[in-house]
Amino acid sequence: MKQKALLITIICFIGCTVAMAQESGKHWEYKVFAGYNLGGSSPIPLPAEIRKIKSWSPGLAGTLGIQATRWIVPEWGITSGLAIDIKGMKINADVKYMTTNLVIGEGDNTGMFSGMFTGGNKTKVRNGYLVIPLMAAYAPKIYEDWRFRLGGYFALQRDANFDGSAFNGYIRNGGPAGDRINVDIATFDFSEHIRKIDAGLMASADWYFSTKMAITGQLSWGLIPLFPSDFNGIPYKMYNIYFMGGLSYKL
Amino acid sequence: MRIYKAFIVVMALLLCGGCIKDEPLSPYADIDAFVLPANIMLSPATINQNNITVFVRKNVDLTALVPTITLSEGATIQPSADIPQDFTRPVNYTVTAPDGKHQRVYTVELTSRSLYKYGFENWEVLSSNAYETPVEYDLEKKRTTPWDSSNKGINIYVQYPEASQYPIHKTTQHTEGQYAAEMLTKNGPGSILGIVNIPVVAGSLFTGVLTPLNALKDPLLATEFGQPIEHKPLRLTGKYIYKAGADYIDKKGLRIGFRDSCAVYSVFFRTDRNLERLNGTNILTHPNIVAIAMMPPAGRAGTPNENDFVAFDIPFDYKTDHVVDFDKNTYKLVIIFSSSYWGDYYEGAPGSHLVVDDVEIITEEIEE
Repeated sequence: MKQKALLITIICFIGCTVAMAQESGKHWEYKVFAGYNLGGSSPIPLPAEIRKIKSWSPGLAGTLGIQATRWIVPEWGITSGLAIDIKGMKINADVKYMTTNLVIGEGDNTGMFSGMFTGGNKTKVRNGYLVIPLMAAYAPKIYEDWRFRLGGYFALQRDANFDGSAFNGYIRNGGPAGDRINVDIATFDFSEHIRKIDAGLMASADWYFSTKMAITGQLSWGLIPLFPSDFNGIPYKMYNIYFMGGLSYKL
Repeated sequence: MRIYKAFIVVMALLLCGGCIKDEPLSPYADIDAFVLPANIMLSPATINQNNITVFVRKNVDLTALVPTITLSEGATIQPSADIPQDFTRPVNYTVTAPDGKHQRVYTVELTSRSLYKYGFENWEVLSSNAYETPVEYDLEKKRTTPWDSSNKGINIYVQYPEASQYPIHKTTQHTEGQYAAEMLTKNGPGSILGIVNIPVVAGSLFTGVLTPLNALKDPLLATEFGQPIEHKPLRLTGKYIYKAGADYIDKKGLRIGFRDSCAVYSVFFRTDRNLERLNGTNILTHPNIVAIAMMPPAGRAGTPNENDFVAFDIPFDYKTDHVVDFDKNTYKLVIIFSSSYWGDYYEGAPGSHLVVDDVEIITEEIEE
């Protein structure tokens, strides 16, 4: 429902801006764009606990948005806008000596399953964001089919999914000196711990192959860890690092 | 094409930070096995966290023994296992992990005497966690660690700050000595990471060792029952208080009309190549069982009042087809107490409450 409402909002927004675009002349430039997100919610650099990445797939993750650019001086302007962004991936890795603390149960019976895990790990991430970019725009005179943008973004998390399983391994209960406990398969769900906001660097390039249509690439590099610092489920910080490839349409 | 190129660039960027690092050095500092020559060792060593207990033959010289110690890969030990040690007293070994940061100190204790009296007067924190386990001192004032409990299993997923909050703890409710053992059935945490559903945790105390290796998947295998015994047991005696909790809960939820009961029993069994210890799956059914002393159902249901101990004296019921012969066979005995009879299946009534004290195994030799 939330997503639907958001989509309607965005369509209205696009409608309004189209109307504005027709009035405002050449100082303003508007584009709508859609693309496929490839990337990872990943620690950078990879920590030593991750021994092997057996598979990675982007899953169904994409961006739908609109950007408005105000050209201020020749070649240079400022871009902002709004986008619905789904950042996701599926990863299957082998980990070793990975410290984890998992909350179990509720209320008075809440416990903590903690220790050092060695074995297989599958993680599925699919987080929905409402993204507001703020970038400098550059339209080089000599390559007039091109638009380049560099800046940052701010995002509100609308819907989080971060779950997976640990399998074919063992945990040393409480730490390396603890008893060894075999784990055939255990599931975890950290969805509710995902931070409500994200922000980072953003860069994009458009290549207009026709007067209206462009091929677009956009990189967003999150600088705020996915989980708050008091979260102990994963011992390292993870960031949203995604590349969108798609099409833009100039309004 | 452009997208493709851009993607290559991005992936290259990601890979810069995404290279797999060198494997970290192992943080494990374990003694995996502790072996003494067969003419000295009567039964395989029990490694229970940082305590190693070895049951040895009587009248052997323990003053200069060289054990064979197996360490986790790459770990080092101090003092070296090659140095003869005087095992008439506890010997400490410090094991250092390959990473150099993690160490474990193991205490090795050799004993040649079975215990027959359990007063629950001494409780110790045997791990880095808060829960306590009763330890006993034999006639020579030598410390032994015959007991283990469901506290160790429960501590995997619930860490209470106080020892008294764990299902098994010492209590001052007693008639003799200072302490008695108290067991309490509590609500469990529910689902443990999709591995197992634990609606109820019971307090269970037994002679043997709880091995958490497969505790989550198969808790019945985690309880390894039995300690060596050198005399034929005749009766299990002691005193207890029991009150069943109100609402019986099993894996499906509340079970109407079902009443909790406690477990108070002892099993005497023969060990062989295939059987060192009984476990939860075969504790009453294994063909090597020679005799069982089981508190009758009326006694398991409860005691008349919550403050007065009731004495129990339960005879061992012997199978007729086995002749007990300590020269030909080795035997073990397990004593089990639980605040919920089916607690090992994660069933019971929260609030069920069992106190035991002054437990004794009356053996043939003592009677004679």
